[in-house]
Amino acid sequence: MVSGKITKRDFLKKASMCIGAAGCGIYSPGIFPNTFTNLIGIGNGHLPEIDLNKWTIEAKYYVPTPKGLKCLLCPNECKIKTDEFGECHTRVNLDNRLYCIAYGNPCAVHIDPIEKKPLFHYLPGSRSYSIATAGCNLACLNCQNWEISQTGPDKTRNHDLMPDKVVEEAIKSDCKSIAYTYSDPVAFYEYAYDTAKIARENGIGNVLVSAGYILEEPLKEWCKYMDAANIDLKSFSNEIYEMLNAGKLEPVLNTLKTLADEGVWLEITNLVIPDWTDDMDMIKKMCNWLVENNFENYPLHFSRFHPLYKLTHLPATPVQVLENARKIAISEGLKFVYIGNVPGLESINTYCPECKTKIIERKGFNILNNKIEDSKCSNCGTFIAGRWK
Amino acid sequence: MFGQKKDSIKFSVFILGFSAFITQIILLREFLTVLYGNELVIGVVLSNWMILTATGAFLGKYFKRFSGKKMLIIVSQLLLAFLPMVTTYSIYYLKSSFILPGQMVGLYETIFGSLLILTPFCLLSGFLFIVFCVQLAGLKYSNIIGKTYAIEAFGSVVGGLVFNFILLFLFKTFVNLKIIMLLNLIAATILVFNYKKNLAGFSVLGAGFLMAVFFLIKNFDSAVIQLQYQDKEVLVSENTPYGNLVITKTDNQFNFYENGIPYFSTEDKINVEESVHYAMLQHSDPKNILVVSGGYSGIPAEINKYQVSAIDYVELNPAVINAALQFTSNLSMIPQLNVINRDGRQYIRQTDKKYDVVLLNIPDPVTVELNRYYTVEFFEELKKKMNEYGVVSTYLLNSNNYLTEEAVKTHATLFSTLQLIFQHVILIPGERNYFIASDGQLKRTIVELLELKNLENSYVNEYYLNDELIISRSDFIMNDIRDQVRINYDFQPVSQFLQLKYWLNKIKFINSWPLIFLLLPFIIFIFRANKINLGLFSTGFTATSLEIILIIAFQIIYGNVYQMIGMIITIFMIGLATGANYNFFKIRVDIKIYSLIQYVIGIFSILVSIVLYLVNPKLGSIILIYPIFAVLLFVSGTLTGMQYSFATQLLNQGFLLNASKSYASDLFGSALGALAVAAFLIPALGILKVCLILGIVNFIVGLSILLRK
Ligand code: SF4
Repeated sequence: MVSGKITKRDFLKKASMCIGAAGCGIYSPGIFPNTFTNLIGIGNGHLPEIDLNKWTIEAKYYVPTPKGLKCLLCPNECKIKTDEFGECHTRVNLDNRLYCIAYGNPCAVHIDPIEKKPLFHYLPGSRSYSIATAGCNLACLNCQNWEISQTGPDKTRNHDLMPDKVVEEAIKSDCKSIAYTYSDPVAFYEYAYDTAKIARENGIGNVLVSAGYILEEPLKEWCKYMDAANIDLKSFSNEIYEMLNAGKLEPVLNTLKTLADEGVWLEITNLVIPDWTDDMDMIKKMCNWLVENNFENYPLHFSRFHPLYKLTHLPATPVQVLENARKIAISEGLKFVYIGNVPGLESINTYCPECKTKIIERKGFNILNNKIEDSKCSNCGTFIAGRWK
Repeated sequence: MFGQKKDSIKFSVFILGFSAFITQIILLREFLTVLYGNELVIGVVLSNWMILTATGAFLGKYFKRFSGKKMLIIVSQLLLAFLPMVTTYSIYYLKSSFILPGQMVGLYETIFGSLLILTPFCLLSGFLFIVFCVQLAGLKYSNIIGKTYAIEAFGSVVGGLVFNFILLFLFKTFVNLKIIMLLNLIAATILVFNYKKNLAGFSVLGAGFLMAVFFLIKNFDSAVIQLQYQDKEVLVSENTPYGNLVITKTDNQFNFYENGIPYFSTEDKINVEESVHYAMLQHSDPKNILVVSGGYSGIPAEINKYQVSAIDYVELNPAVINAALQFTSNLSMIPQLNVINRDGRQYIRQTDKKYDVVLLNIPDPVTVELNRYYTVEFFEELKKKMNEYGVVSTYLLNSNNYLTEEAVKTHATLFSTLQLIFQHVILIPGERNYFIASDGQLKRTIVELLELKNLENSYVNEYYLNDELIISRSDFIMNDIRDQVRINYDFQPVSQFLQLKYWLNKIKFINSWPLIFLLLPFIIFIFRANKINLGLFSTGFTATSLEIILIIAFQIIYGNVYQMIGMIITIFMIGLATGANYNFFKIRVDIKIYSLIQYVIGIFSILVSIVLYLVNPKLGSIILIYPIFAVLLFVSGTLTGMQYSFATQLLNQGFLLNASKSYASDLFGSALGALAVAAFLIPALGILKVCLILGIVNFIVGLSILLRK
């Protein structure tokens, strides 16, 4: 559980006093309680002002237990006592009801090319309206977005962007999809769910960019409205998952299966971190599992590590290592294997698995050439899996 | 030479100072290769060092209870031979055992890890100092503590000089530690011949020599590399004056580590292109380019895509250049390239050339030394060396998806500081957040600018970038930082303070109790010490603080010049030895004189702030800087030494207690200086205010010496 019980309680008391006070736009972040931290001024000394009615929603998945409320959204299955938060920093027990405080208050809102997610077989060349609230149910040592993932929405500067507004903005900015991304959408499950529903009604696609650390039931419910997902398969070892990400492998594999079964378009990213996840035997095992479980038509992206967050003492992944991983994946039978984060490589193009024709030529995030017609290779007619239109 | 007993003890004291100081430099350097290199971390390590040594000295008062005193001295001297090596090795051993691969070490681990690692060596060296004092006193050698202190300081001076100017360049870490081991063995041998010419003495000595053989034949340097880099191919591992440089090869990639942090890997196109083109594209006809640091990553070749006439690349550490020449082609085959091995800021101040584009590749301002490249004074100096409409680029490493409060402030500070000097400043968010400044017009439409030039880039091109998205991300950050005006000054390093807060937030350092734990010994001390020791404490605190301040000020005003930093410490130590050894005015010391000197130290601290304030704007008068700094350092060392010798004359609690407490008081004060001043007070308040505070502290202590019973 997250420490700082008193602040949380203070914050909630204060928050309930402020109902209706916080207007739209950006509000102030929270503050750590401690005298010393106040002295040197981490944070800005204000108590957060959150409109509980507006940016708070009752969580969908939990049950009461004698040890507190048990959250049934993700495999952490936190037991949350009164006034305490779950590990993801977004779920709080208030008077024995579990609330999610990440609703309509994203702290990161950007427009990105869909290829940046990365999704290569989903509406290529389109833009995705990308949102994230603070909070995440994992704690990866190499997190790219630790500024928002390792904290809660009560401590970040947020936008006021209710689900309908998100869809409106996405349409306005000519985005074909909305991506729930950056931190992890599991932490703002309800917000993503409600937004996806409205987006679907308006013909806008929904994209999850997630570690896939979620329980099956809520995931299935999500799948009703999600069109595509990029899931980080962070390694193929439970031990590494525990040490590097504070998670477990099995639930993620389960997520992959569920997404595929539910008909969500799926792409998988594997970040190759030197000394952690660059073991070629492990990569081989992972690819083997993917093929055995019929994922060979779903793209796999090997991504380059750069020193970040707490893993600052490791160098970037050598390109050769990524190339080797790609070779292994292809020889294991995966049909579409890409290398990410390295400009200028041929391996960002899509090749027909049968006739080897370059059917999508990419440069950066742009599509130079697309030879896929009706989901088939225009040269040999082989079916190319994806959501192309 | 050592026929007399007192000479052999004096030699041992000298060796103690010599080994302790070299070991301290070496350990600090080694700690920096495994720990995070900001001033708080350095302050914690130094402070732990001094607290432990002080505790050792304090324990020295129990020496008289030991029965086999002579044997104890010999064994201690032998331990002093081996402990530096064991301590250094254990840094790496503990790191590889308890810290996950590649993980940054947090503050808790730093505090407790360094405490644990340093305990045996520091306790022993503090203890030995007192033991030697007692031993010399037993030989009826007058004014003994002051003299011992002076000999130890002299040993430190020699150690510092020999290490900084000779050993560092000749040998690897453990070879140097082996030299220390041999010197201590010699000292132990002399002691045995003087005090313990019997079977027991010779057996202990023999055991020592056997151990030495084991230590001598083992190649610890490569064992340590193995612990750090495991199965990686390590091509270079070198101790340079500016830190440790390691180059590894992983597949076809070369990785350059400076102080344990991978600063650059070959095949990193994105950062290289971004750091060059965002700025170069802004200039219509860039001809003369200045690159400050980091050029070895391939920057000159990128610059060369624009028909430039000259690329001047300033890099402080020549070893980096040599390695880049040896292992990459990044610096060869470019005829316009001129590599200059100098401190960047010093070069900019002194060059007669003027530039069209200046690319600053400086790590984030996590130390005062780095902060020098983010201040209004620096940008002012830089602008003088730029042609009309010249463009400068610098960056911060944060993510651009979202900025934390501290990151917003750091960005806002850099932005408003640049805005004070340049008419236009823009922010281009990339893998890093680039700040481009100029008096000419600037554009964020990179793709549009690219169209005007015919460049073949792998990343900075229309395929990866999109003007609309760049502007929207740039606005996203600008909205947060626009209204916050903060200026970063040389002597008021706001950015460094913000970086410290950012780091503490990053490592989730939100509980203060370890720091309170660190401050506790000081608080207890202040309330319990008698007035003489309080004076010593205050003087130790002031002296260390002033030394740190003068080193920082010298770097700011003159530049980071390795030899000079060595000289600064040496001059201070000479002052210390001189002050401790001589009673200048041949006066009889009484409490009034003692209190007076406290006032003088206070006045001197304030004087330092006035001198620094006056010297800083007159940067032209470089020739004056050496003598000014030399005098300031010498005087502050001398005052400290004098007070130490006065104190020891005044204390009359019995010899042993006297020696042990006074030495401990002085060190305790120094520890507080190292921790509080460098890590918090300077970044929070600025150098000049800290000098004033030092003045006030000494006045209060001076007064309380007079008034306290
Ligand atoms: S979603 Fe959050 S509260 Fe629920 S189990 Fe996961 S981490 Fe815990």
